[in-house]
Amino acid sequence: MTQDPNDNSLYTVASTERVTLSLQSVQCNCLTSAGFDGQTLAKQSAAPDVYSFDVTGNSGDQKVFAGVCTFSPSNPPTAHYTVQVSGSLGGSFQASSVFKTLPAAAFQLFFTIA
Amino acid sequence: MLKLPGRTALFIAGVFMVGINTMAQSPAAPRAPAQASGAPACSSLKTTALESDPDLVKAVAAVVAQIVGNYDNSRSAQPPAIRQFWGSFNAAVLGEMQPKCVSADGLGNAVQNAVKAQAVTAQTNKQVAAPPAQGQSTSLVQKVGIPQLLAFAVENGAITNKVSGTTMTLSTSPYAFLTAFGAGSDTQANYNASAWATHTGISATFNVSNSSDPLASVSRKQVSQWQAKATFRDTSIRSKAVADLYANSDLKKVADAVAADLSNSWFVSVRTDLDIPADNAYRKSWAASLDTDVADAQRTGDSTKNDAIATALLKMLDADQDYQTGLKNAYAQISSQASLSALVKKLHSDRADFDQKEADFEKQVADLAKGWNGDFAFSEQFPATVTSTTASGTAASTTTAMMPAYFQAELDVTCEPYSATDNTGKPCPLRSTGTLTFNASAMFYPNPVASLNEKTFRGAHAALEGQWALGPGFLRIKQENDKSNMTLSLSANYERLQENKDQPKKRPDLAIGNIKLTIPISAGVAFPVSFTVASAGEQNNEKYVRGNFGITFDLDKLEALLKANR
Repeated sequence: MTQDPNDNSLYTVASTERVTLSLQSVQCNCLTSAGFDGQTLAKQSAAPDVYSFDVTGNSGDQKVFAGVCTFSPSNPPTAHYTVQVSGSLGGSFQASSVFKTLPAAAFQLFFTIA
Repeated sequence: MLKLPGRTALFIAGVFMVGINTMAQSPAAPRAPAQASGAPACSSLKTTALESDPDLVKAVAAVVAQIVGNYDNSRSAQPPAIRQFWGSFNAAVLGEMQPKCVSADGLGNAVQNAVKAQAVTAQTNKQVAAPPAQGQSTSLVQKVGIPQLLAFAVENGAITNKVSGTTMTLSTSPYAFLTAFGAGSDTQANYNASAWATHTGISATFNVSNSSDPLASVSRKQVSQWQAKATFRDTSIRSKAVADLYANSDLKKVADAVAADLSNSWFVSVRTDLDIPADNAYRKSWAASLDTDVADAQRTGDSTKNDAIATALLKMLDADQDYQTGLKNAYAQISSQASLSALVKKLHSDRADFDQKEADFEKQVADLAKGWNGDFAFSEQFPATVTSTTASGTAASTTTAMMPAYFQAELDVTCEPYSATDNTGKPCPLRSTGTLTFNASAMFYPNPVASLNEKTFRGAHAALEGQWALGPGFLRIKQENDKSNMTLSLSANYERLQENKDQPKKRPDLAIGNIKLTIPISAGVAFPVSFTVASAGEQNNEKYVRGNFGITFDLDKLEALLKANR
């Protein structure tokens, strides 16, 4: 897996590569939800919340991952989630952190099959 | 003598009392064919003047939060990478464009603030009056308070500083030190792994001699008490109980639906049509104006600056030709394909549902803190010096005696009834409206002075209080979201002071009864009346009956109401 050097939301993966995302909350509780390619993802483990999915399809296809990070009004303004992305065939990258927005902040990552 | 957890409480006691709580282009994504015509007329289609739609201002504020949060002031002025956050905003824009579709996106903050205001104003377990250790207090027992202490330590740094009247309290927790000084950042993983450190807290209270520079008063001689405290149950918003509640909540189900909606493959074309043009426009305007504003917003933490940046971003999108073209293309797709129209409507509906479910969730989280809880505290008390003047003939002599310090071990137990939204907890003894609090303590002299009749065991103390919410009270006109209740509390206090035994004009057994009625009279303002009957004073054996009344100002409640009703 590689990350676009100019856009940390864009990744290139091999067909059938398994992607793992780790969402770690800082200064807030870890309350997340995730979806991939239109389907809800089940959490693999908690704090950090870990999600895994297989990117399948034809070369050039692009698939979307979406995450929803929930915050509480009582969290400090600097509360955020860090986002770690890694591929089963190698490569581990940091995406932009997700900062406090009430009631939640949503983000998307895009995976293009090589 | 009642002590409750409070954020900014100042108490002036006496017969009259006042309390103040107080980019570069990325590889092109596959593009869905745009429909250039055939779109139905839509009176709410807004491709320009986006900043005039309050819902879109709120949606773009979420993007601004990411720009400001990800900005690295220590690096060169590069625009933070935030492309992954445009999708949610653009989904909101498209949802707003749907005919007859009323956005509820803006509901979020309003609901949040309303819920918070209702929770804060309904709170009756808060120390607005002086703590029990201070004189002139109208209450007799101390309630459990470590969660707030912990929250302050965690959220504001390793040590917190609270000045109240002529005293200042410095407080911290082992967890605050662990995260502040290199043992790891304040991640939830570290929090979960440090249960012992999050359940304990220490504090020291100092008598302030210079109110303009209270920290200058930090010295051994100025200490009035220090305390170490361990709570039995973590009731903070960081607790595992909150994570478990979320995992099984309706909020999680809706969040899952929103995440599934946003991961629909159609968003690949949204990215091409809208996200990338929006991000490019943002980057183009970075050096021109945003750089300075974002740096300023991050440095000051001033949310009004975020609002100004949000408006600037929307005006920028109004004028950006690529974004405007993308918006028309995306809308044409939605209008011509029923499945896309349904998806956007569903996302819009799910987001609105999310806001409401989040409000419900916050109420349930507030309930988690209720029920049975307790803590154990160990402290050392340094009573104030006593000055006595003795007249002898025409001469008078004044002597100042340092009161001996003593240790105190205390157990506090409380049960606050759950609200109607959650009836899964065990009921409190005082049913659904009454909060029960019990304190018991034993005191010991480390160095008893025989001449003062002191022995190692100084004495013991027990207090019991029942507090009932009596409804809104006599106030017929209340601000929206003001859930303040009239409260009645009955309390009894017994203290055994061993050194008073067999001493002239002193009694070893002190019993005090108190009844207190607190009547809310306006937003954050209450009128407390209390009557106290005592068998004797600590320094004399005179019985007394005392009536206290006054006005308390709770700035936390007032702030919450102002925010909610703004």
